[in-house]
Amino acid sequence: MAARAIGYRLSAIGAVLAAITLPACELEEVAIPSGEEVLIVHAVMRPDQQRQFVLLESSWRGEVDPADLDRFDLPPNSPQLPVEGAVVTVSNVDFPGDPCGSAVVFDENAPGLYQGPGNCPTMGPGDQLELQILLPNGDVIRGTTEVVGLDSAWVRGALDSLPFGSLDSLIFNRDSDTLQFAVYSSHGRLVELQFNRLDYYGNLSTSEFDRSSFLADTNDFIMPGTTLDLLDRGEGDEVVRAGRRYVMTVAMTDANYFDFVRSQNNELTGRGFINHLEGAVGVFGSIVASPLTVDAVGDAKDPREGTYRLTGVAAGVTVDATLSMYLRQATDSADLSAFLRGVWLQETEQGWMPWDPRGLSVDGGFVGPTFEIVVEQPMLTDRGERPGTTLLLTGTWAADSFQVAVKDNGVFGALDLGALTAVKQ
Amino acid sequence: MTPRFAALASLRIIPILAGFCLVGTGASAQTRDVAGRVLAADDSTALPGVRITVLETGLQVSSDAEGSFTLRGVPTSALRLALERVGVRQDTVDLPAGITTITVYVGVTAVQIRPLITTAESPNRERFEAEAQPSTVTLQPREISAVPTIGEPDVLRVVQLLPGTVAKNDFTSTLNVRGGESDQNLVLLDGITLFNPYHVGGMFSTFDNAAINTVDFTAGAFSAAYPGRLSSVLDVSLRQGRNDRIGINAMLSGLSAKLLVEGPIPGTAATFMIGGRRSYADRWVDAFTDESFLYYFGDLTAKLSLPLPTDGVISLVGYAGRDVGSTPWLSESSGQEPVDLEFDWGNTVAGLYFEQPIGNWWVSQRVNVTRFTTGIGLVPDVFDARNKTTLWSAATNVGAQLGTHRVQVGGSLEPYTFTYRAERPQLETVVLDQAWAPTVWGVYAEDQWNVAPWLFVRPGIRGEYVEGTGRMTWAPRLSAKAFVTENFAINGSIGRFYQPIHSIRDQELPVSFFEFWIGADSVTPIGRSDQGVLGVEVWPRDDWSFSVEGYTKSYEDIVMRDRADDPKVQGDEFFITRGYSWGVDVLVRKHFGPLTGWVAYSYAKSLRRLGSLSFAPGHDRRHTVDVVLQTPGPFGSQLGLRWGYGSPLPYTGIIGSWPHRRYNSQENQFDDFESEVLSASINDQRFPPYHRLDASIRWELGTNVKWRPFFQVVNVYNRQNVFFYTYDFTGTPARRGGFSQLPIVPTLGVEVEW
Repeated sequence: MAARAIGYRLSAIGAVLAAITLPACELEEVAIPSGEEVLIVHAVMRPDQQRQFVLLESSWRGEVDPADLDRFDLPPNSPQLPVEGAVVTVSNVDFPGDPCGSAVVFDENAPGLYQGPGNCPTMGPGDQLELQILLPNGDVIRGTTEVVGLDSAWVRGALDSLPFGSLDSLIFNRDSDTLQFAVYSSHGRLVELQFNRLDYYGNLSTSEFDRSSFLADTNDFIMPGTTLDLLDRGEGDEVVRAGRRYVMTVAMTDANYFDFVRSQNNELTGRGFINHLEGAVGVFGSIVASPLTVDAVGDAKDPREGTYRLTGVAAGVTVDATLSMYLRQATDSADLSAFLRGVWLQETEQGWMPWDPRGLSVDGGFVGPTFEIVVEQPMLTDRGERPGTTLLLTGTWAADSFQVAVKDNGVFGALDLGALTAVKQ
Repeated sequence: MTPRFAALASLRIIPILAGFCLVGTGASAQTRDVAGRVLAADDSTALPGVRITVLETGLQVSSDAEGSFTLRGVPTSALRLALERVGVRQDTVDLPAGITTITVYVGVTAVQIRPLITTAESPNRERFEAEAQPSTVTLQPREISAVPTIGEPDVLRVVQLLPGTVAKNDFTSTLNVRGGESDQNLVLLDGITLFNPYHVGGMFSTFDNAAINTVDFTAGAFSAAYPGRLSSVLDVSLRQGRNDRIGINAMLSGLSAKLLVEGPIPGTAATFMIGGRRSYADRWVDAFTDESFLYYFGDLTAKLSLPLPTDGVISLVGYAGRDVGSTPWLSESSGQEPVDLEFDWGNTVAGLYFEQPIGNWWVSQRVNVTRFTTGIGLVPDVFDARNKTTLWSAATNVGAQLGTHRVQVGGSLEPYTFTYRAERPQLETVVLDQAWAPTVWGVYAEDQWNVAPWLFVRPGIRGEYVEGTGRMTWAPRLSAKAFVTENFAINGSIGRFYQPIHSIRDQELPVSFFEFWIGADSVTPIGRSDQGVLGVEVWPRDDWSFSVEGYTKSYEDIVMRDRADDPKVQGDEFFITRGYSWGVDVLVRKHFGPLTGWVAYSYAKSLRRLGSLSFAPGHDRRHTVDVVLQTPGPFGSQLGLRWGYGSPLPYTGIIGSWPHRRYNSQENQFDDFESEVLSASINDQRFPPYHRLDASIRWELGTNVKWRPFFQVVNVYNRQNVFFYTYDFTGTPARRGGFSQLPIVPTLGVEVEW
C-alpha cells in the first residue's frame, strides 16, 4: 500500500500547504440527494491458496448506516452493502481442459462473498483468468488478470541468507543489519513486502500498528533495520523492534493489483483511480506470497538491556527461563520488548504446568529502574491452546540481579504466583 | 523634493557629458546620432510614447517602452528638441553641439491628485496608431499598484482582470486565456522565460511591481517573434535603474517586506537596480508565539544596464526566487532520529541582452538561462522527489525600417531539459526517473508593411524544428489593421501556433502549485492551434478607448494527464486531446484623468474532446465582467475599486464513495479500507456564480521621502464563492460541505520611496 500511502501523504502535504495558503471558510453542510450506484469488486486470485473469493458490493450513496462501516476482515465478514444473487464465474482461458470446468462458479457463501471450490480454477504462472459476474438485473461485470508466479525470493541478513517459505527463522539485528531482498519471477509486475508481528498466541497481529508494507517496483531492494514506517503509519514507528517476532511476507503482484494499490480518486476531481474492470470499480488481480519468520534483535544501548536468567518457583512450577530484553530507546522511561525462552509456566485445566514458550515475544516498560512486563500467553485446554492468560512481571531492576514478582492478572484482579530471581547473563 | 532633485526637475535636461560621448558613432563629420531617454521628473520612471521633434530639421521620433529614443543623422550643431505627449508637460530642451547622449526629465501634467493615478496610457494609443497587433494591453506599475488585492501589488492578479482571461479562483494566479490552458502562456521577465512565476503555490506572482517598467499582455495573435506557446504572451519588462542618484523603494505589506535600491554606477554610464523581498510570517510567529511557522518565500531581482557609446545597450538581468517550507514529520520525542517534511520550489534566471542600432537597422542578441526546480522530501533518506526544468536559449534578431516596411527576422536555439526523479533512499528504490530534453531551433520573419496611411499589414512566419521529433513546423501569421478614421480601426489576425512543451499537471484541479513540464519527442506531440481574431478599436477621446474583439481557436494535440501511466514507461503520461474555444472580448478603458480604470467583459465557450468524450474544461466560464476603477478619495487619498463577476465554472460531480480496500496478503483477506469518492462525467456540474468586490485607499505623504500608506479590503461584502465541495456518502442522507474562496480580508501596508 505504500504507493497509495505516498499519494495520501502527498495529499496531506498538499493539505498542509493549503492550510498555509488557503484562509478559506467552511461552507455550510447541506443534505443532497442520494448518489448513483456503482458496483464494487474486490478479488485477488492466489495460486498459492486453496480457495479463491470475490467480493461484490455496492458503493455508498448516502443510504448506508454509518455503524455498518466498521466491518473489516473480508472474508469471513461480508461487505457493508453486499450484492447478492449474482452468478460469479472465473475461467482460465489458457487452460481449456481445466478439470475444474471451463468456467468455475463461485458460490455465495455469505452476502456478497462468493467463493470458489477448493483448488479451482486451476492456474499457473502466466495464465489468463477471466472474471464474469452476471448480476440479477442482467448486467455483466468483466475483468481479466494474468496469474503471477514467484520463482524464488531470498533475503540476506548480516550472517546468512534464507529463502522465503523456509521454516527457519531469520535472526536480524535491527540496529546494525540491512536486509537485502532478491525476488525472481517470470510473471509479475510489482513486489509487495509486508511485515506483521506475531502476537502472543503465535497469530499475526490484527493491530495496524504492528504491520507495515512496502511496494518495490524492482526485483532487488534493501531495507535497513532502522527503517521507520512513515508512509503507511506516519507516526514514526519502527518497522521492526528488537525483541519482537515478525512474519515477513514477500508477494509478487500483477499489473492490476499494482494499479489498485498505487492509485486513488482525487477528492476534488473524482478521478485518479486506475480501474481495469468493465461494469464495476475495484480490482481483479493476482498475487503469490511467501512468508518468512524474523526474530528482531538489537544492539545493547542501555545497561538495563540484556539477557536475564529467571529462576525460582511460581504457581508451584519451577521456572528456569531466559528473558532477552531490549529497550525501544535508551531513556529513563522506555518501552521494552523481550523474548522469553526456556522452562516457563502455563495455565491448564489441571492447574499450572511447566511450558516452553519457544521465544514468546512480550512487551513492557521501564520507569527508571522499575519495570512491568505483560506476558500474554495461551492457556492449555482440552481443545488445545487458547488465548486466556495474562501474567504480569514486575520489579526493580538492578545491575546484577533483582527480584521479579509474577502475578496472574485475571479479570478478578492480580493474583500473586510467586517471585523469581533475575540474573544478568 | 531635495534641492538637487528640484533642480533636475526644473532644468528637465541633463546632458551627460561622459567621456564616451565624443566617441564616433558611425555618423559623418557633419551629422551625429543621439541616444536619449525621457524620464518623469518626479520619480525618474521611463516615459514611453513621448514624441521628440528636432525643431531645426523636423525629424521626429518617439520614445520606446523604456523611454529610450535615437535621433539619427542630426546635425552636430546645437539644436532644440520639442517634447510632447498627452499627459506630459510640453517643453523644449537644448541639445548642445557634439553631444550624443542625453537624458530628459519632463513633468507629468496629469498630476492632479497623486502620481499614483496620473500617467497617460500612451503606449496603448501609440500601439493603436502604429501597430497591426490586436489583443494587446499595456499596464504600467502605477495602474497595477492601484488595483486592490491581498498584500501588495501583483502583476498577474491585475492581468487576470483583463478581457479574455479567466482566473479559476482566488487562490491561483494562473491564467486561462481565451479558452487555453494555463501552460499555453509565455511569461517573460525582460525577455527571459519563466516556467512557474508564482509564490505560495500560485497565490502570488514572482514579480516585484517596483521593479517593473511595463507589462504587455497579448491575449492572442501574437508576433512570430515569440516562440513556443499557443495562447498568450505576458511580457514583463524591468526598468533600468535611475541614473541621477541612488533611489530607494521599500514596502512593508501584509505579505512581505521588500527593498529596492537603484542608481548609477560611479564612473560609468551604467545603472543598476536590485530589489529583494521576503515574507515574514515565519519570523513573526517565531517572535511572538510558541508556535513554528516554517514557511517563507523570497526573491531577488536585479538589472544592470550599460548604454554603449555606439548607441547600443547591454543589459544583464538576474532573478532568483524561492519558496521554502519545513515541518516536523517525526519529532525527536519519538525516540527516533527526527524526520522532517521539507519542500521548496523556485525560479532562477539570468539573461544577457545586447542591442545595437546600425543606421536604419538594428540587431539584438540575447542569451538566457532559466531554471525552475522543486523538491519535496522526508529527510533524511525516507523519500525524495525532485523536478528540474531548465532552458538555455540564445536568440538573434535583426530589424530594419525600410520605407514603409518594418522588417524583423531572427533565429533562436532553445534546449530544454525536464527531469523528474522520486526515490526512497532507505530502500534504495527509485519510484520515478524520467527526463525529456527537446531542443527547438526556431526562425522567424515578420514585416509590418504600412501599405497606406490607413492600412497596415503584418505577414509573418515562424518555423521550428524540434529535435527528437523529426518535425519541422511552419506557423504562418497575418495581421492587418484598417483605419476608418484616425480614431477608429478595424483589426484582425489569423495564424497558426505551435507549442513543443506541455504541462501534465491535472488542469482540472482547482488549484495547483506549479506546472509539470514535458517536451515533445517521438511520442509526445507538438501542440497546435489555429486562431482568428477580428475586432475594432475606437478612441472617442484621447483618454478613452473602446475595443471589441471576437476570436476563434482550435486546439490539436493538447496533452491531458493520464493517471494510469506506468512510472517505468515514458510516453504514457498523457492522453492527447483536441478542442476549440471562441468568444468575444470587450474593453472600455479610461486612461488618465481623475477617474481611470476599465470595464472588461468576456464571453467565451470552450470544449475539449478526448476520443468520443466531450467536456468543458475547468476554466470554461461563459461570462466574465471586471470593473476596475481608481478615483480621488477623501483627505487627499486615492481610492481603488474592483468588482468582478464570473458565471458558473464547471466541476466534476461526485456521485458516491466506495471502500477502496486494503488487501493483506499474509491473511488473504481485505482487512481495511479508505473511503474514496466516485465521480460521474468530467465537469458535468457548475459552481454558483462568482462575484467579489475589493477596495483600497492610499495616500502619498511627504516630499523628499514619500510615504504611501495603504489599506485594502478584499471581498468587501464577504461573498462565499465556492472553492470546492466535499461530500459524505457514509450516512443518511448524503451531505455536501466544502470551502469558500477568500473571505473578507483586510490588509495594511506602507511604501516608502526616496
